[in-house]
Amino acid sequence: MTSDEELVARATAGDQDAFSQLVARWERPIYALAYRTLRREEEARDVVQDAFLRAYRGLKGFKGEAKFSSWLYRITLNLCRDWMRKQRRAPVVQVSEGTDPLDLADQQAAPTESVEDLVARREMSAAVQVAMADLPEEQRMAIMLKEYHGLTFQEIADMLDCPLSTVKTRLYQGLSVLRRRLERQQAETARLRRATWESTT
Amino acid sequence: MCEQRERVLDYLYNEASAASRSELEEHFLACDDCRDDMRAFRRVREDLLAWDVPEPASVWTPFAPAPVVPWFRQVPAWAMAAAAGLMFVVGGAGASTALAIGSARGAEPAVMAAVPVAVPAEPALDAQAIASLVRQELSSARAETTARMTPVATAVPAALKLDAATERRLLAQTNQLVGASEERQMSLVRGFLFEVALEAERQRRDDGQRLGALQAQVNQLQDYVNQLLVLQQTKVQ
Ligand SMILES: [Zn+2]
Repeated sequence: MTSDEELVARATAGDQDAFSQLVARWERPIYALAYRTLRREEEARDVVQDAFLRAYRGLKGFKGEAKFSSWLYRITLNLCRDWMRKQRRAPVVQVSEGTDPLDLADQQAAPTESVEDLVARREMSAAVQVAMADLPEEQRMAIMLKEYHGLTFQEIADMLDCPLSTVKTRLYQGLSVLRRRLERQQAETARLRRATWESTT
Repeated sequence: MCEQRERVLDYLYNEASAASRSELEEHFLACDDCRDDMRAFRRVREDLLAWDVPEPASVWTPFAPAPVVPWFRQVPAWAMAAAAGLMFVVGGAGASTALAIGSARGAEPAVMAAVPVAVPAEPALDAQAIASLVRQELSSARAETTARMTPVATAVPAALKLDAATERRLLAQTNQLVGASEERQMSLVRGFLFEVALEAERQRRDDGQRLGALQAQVNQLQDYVNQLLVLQQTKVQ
């Protein structure tokens, strides 16, 4: 597979197809980052589009002292921050709660996934989103870049402009909070299930 | 509260050097706080996987789109092999565990830092019991992979007649499934390895007798994890 660096070099020299390849390669991760940050599909798509446009225009200024992906992540994070600042509020968690079986059938990850598994997965997904939304932004960012994008501690430090030790502190604190929230949430779900079961029998 | 608690992260995310890994393992044996964090954070990491992202429509329109390679040609050979159910071969009575991979191309040297297997001792948990736990863990991982990959295999012929948008969607879905399944398996196996190693070390301290079979089991598991890591590296983006 052609390396990012090579594609960047070709794109800088005017090869549009090389840039399209970079887009195809990074579109999903960048979208995932924007979506999890903003939690809105429309806005996340806008941010991704904007990020690639800026990257394209800024290619000549990109000297390759960072990885292309890090540079792109950074552009994306800045755009997300701008958006949130404009809204003057943190994004609202939008978790759809519909459990219509027909609706659910469309969302099964694989035909073999049972509806029960799907419901459990969606409950967990909702719990994770709520717990993540409650974290301070800096902890949430660190966890997101680590968990969903696999960046190293150093890469995260570079991206968030903070010392490595700060990254670890944010991660540790964030994980500890998530742990407590998710454990409580799971206990609560179990309690509700028991109550429902008891009231129906 | 333990002063070294943040070092758990180096271990958790595999960013510790070999030397500091073994140092940390020593520490975990002695420190209940860190051991507890380690277990809890592993669970959190698994839970976090549940938050997936909707499939985006492509956002890049300024240029003519790049030609679309049919999705089934982008699925790496090993995934196809996995789809065909060749992923694991788990031995029976002898507790031998092997991993058959369709094609782990460009296999790099093993990347997982050595898991310390303390030469274990007269166990409270005997070799048979551990072997059986390992077998259970692997066979449920195998069942899960097979279950998740079978639809991919059956979708291949059908996909030949699909339009480009559907192909893209299927490719994305396949990659996501492969990724999620690998990640989950790795996390399961890693977690299990960690427990086994700790248990073994505790037992060694209790008593000086050897338990070679456990060592072999853990070595095999470690190979398995390494192979999964190689697979993940060769996975298409
Ligand atoms: Zn400790």
